[in-house]
Amino acid sequence: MISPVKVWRRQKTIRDLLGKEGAIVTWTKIYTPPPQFKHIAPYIIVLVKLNDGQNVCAQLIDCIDYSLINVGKKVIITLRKLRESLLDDVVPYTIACKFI
Amino acid sequence: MKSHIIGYYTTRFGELWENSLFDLVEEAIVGALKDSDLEMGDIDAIFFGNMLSGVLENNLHAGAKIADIFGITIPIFRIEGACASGGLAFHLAHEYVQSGKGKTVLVIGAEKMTDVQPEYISQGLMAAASGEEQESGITFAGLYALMTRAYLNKYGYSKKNLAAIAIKNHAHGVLNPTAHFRKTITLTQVLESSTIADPLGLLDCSPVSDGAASLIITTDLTHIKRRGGVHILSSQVATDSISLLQRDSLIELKATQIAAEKSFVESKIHRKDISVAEVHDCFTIAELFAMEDLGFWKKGEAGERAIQYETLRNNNGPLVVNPSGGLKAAGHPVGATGIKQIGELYTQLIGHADKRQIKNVKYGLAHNVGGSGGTAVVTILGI
Amino acid sequence: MKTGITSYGFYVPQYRIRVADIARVWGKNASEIERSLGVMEKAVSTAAEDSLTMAYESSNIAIKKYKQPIGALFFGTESPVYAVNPSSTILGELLNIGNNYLAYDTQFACKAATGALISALVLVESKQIESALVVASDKATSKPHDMLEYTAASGSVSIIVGEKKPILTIEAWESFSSDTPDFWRREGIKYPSHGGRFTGKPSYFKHIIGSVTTLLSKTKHKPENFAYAVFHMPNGKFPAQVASQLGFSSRQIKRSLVVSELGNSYTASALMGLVATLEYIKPREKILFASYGSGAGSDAFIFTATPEIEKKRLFFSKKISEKKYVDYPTYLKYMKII
Repeated sequence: MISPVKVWRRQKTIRDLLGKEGAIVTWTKIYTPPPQFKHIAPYIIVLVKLNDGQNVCAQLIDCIDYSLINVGKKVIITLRKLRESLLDDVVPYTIACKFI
Repeated sequence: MKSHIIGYYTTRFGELWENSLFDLVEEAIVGALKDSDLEMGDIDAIFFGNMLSGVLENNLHAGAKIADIFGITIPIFRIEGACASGGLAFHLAHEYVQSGKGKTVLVIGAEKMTDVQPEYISQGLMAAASGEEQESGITFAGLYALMTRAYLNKYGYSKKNLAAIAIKNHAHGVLNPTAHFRKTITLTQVLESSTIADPLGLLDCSPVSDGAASLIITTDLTHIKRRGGVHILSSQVATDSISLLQRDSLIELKATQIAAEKSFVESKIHRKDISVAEVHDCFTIAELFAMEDLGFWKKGEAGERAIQYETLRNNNGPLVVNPSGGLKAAGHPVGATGIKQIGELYTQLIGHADKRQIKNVKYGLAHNVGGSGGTAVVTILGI
Repeated sequence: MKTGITSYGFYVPQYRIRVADIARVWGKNASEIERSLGVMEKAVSTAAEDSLTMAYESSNIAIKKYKQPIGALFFGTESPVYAVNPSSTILGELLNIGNNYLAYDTQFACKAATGALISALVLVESKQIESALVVASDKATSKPHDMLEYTAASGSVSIIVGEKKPILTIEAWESFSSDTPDFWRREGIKYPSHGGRFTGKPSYFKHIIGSVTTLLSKTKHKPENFAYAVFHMPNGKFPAQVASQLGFSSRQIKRSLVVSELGNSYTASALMGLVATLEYIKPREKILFASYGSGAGSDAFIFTATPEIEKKRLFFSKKISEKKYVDYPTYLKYMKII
């Protein structure tokens, strides 16, 4: 069971990151996911330096052309549901990146 | 007065289906006592390094569990620092005798990983990373892959420069009777191994293993006279941010650099005096970082020097690295690794390394890292 | 000041599956299905998306350029994340609109959002609140092999109702409601069920004709007064047929017929047709808009474009042309059926 309180506390941080823009610093593609991420595997994780100086680690979603993934490529932060939860859990949303 | 290591025992590392965590703990403790010709009554305290028993088995309070097994009442401490749990346990055990709180202590590092499916181990290991990293679905291989890409891009290296580490360590592992893997691997095999987290493939990654290793440290002159043993010249710990997001650089581990510098200062030994080292190759890239961060090689050189096999035994290099097979070939039961590394140095320094003995070794260095670089322990031993 | 739509946003996922690729799996004649449904392909959202994430995408666009306080947030969907727990407040929190707003989630099949649009309109017009955000969002599900599989799609449209510089004024509205069980889904059941041909004449047609005829009559408008007409699109045939029956030409509905390329995004379906139309509409031109929700009901509106539309229209056709096709197994993976 995912703690609803943890989801609630985390939400404010997620909200403040939404819509922020930045550039890719480095990336990888995960082929052996943890159990709660199997349903969306394989997936790309990027480390992004935001324009405000913060670093974030997030999945790169809706990437049609892998050849576009490069250091310096601009991305924006949006909302996705990545972590699978149990049928009776509170749903934990999180940040993801997509190309601008 | 300097503490000495006077005894060591390691179990086999591998998929040890018949043994539970505490079966392994018991075997290693009994083995170390036997090796040092001591009894439990001679031990003043026990230090236990382990990462996952809480996460994977809902088993904590290890001190009481060990007390239960041996029918003892001495102080027993469980220490956790992700993959540096063993090194940290050793460090605290050393501090304990140095401070005079006890004269002879036993350090045991152990891990039981194969009772659980691989994806749950992957998830458990991620407890050593930050919440943000966990939330993204990244794995440990992924964190090191992020660093790998940054390093390969910066210095113009390729996967071949990584593969050389795996090939070397497997060649060493062949000679180590307790290693998880005792076969050589080829460049083709490494490059073609299935991708775990791009650009790291299966053979860039240390395996999931069970195992336990135990050492006895003492300042007791009677035991030292009887056994000889090896001096502990320094043991230093440094930390850095748990998360890659907060690091100053993605292509080096500051914690290693700080711990190494402090360790060389404390021991008054120079890098060129070290002829054998056990470094933390959880992934091939980690050994490249280690060689640079420990100061053996200059920043950016490791990729090139790795494919020259400068640290392969019998290659006439001044320094042999990971004669045990490293984490890659000897295996990586997380909590046990830090102890095994020091134990391997001990075995080499007292001349008992058998087929993998390196000649003329006087000083050895062990390097144990936690997580993606949040903790580093550097230990220097001398004969 | 006239009340109207002051800002809007839309989200269509970039993935598509062709009707032909679905038909082939079940051994059906693809061109026959394409022809009878008037649908060629539909939009598919990924396994990381649900009605809330899509609502965020569309409402973020609507709200980004609109800085007035939001006094109400209504979330209409047929694929709610929770059976009990408001998505409207999750969205409100993520959009950072504070706490001083009325929120509720609505369900009425495909007209869940347009019913809320009427409530929003009345709240703003009576000056009880300054503006309201109405969101339609669906990740429409369908049982594999069922006819709905060819059309049930994903999408979201967000609309802000207010008085400051509307791009469309809302001249009048009419709602027509009855108890007609043409399409339903029980609590705890994964896929909807429907009455086959019963969904036609006694359902879709009766209610849209009901709302539109009353609206036209009471406002004394004729079909030729309108530059465009937009009807709910369960497939490509029904809206064309109801338009004809009501006296609208195929030219008037042409721009809105996005269903052939995007499928039916349920609560967002008719609104997506409206968004497509707004790309072309000129100031002072009128739109006759009618949604349909099974169960059943229809909400009809008369919108008039203002000069503001020239500054604020969104480019829809280019955006939806950026797409990638997926195969059937990937579609099942994205819909979390496998």
